[in-house]
Amino acid sequence: MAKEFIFTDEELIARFQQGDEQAYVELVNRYRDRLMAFVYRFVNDTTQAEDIVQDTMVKLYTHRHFYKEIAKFSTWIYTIAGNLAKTELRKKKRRKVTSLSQMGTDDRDYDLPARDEESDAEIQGQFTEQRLQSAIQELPLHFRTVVILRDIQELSYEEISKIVDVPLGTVKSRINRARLQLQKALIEYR
Amino acid sequence: MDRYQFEDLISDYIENNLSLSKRKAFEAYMDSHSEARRDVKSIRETITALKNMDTVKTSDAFMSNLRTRIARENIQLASSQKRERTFFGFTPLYASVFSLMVIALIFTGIQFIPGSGDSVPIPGERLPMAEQTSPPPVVKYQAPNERASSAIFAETPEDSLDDEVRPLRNKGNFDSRIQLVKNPQ
Repeated sequence: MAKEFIFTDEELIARFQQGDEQAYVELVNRYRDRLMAFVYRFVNDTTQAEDIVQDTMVKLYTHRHFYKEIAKFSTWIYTIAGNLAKTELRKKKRRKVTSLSQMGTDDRDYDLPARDEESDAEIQGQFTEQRLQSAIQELPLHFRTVVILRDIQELSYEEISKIVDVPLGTVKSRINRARLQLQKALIEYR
Repeated sequence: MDRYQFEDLISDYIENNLSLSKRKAFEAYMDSHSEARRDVKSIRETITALKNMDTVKTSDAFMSNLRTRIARENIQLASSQKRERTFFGFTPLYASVFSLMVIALIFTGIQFIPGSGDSVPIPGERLPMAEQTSPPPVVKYQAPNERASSAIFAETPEDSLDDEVRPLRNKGNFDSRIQLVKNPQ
């Protein structure tokens, strides 16, 4: 596609604010997977993460006029998604969790046959990924947010500073501390 | 450099954001502390692992579910707008409260108008025809000095507004007081 036909995010939101719904669809397609990756690492649940991303897109639709060109569009939408994810985590903490693993008296173990033969490397990779995801979940919320945005979403320090609304120096310090904590947590898993 | 300073600089070192002098000090600390070098290597690997994590994508039904939700939102918005009749943008409750406040303000303000007296004219009220024929008497206030002057300038006593014409006080011979230049005596 020629460069002149590719609209920037800010141009798309401006067109959407004027009533162009196709611009909205384009924005959704650009950000749905990026936000999914961000929110999933936050809440560790694909169904919940997709619901939160949908909520973000609905908010984008209903509150489009709240966006002002002072900040980048990506900053705005990541802020919405991050706030919704944090709210969901707080609700999760308040809910009473009842365990479903109430086995019967016989307590039989069920062995499910494996469908595919996975290689040792793939299994090891999944294990590392699971360990990493668990280590991320153990981080405090303010460390988790910045390390996901920096090391997984690969956003700049300046943009992260605007999304989480803290000074640049604080962002760098939190990212450093978060990486140290992750490194220590992963050493314990070995 | 101590351990805390070293830890604070790990991310900057990995991302090549240290000045030359700080970089040298950092590397000197690493050379003298083997566990510090291991920590830096371990953190580099962690960052690489984070970047290489599997990408999680939305499901194929994402767009259709989103369209359904937006359609529902639009219906809800349309029905809530129908239910709520507004008067100049205000809900009925706020419109009535605001109107009462404005009327109360008008009545209070009228009380402060001088000469409004006991009877407060109701806007739009018309007086009976008999009262409308003769204009109300105008009482002109005159300062004490003015009365004398009006008597002076009145051509006839009847012209004066005073009930009685008061003569001038010092009606006397001013010749003794005023000396004209021509008769210097």
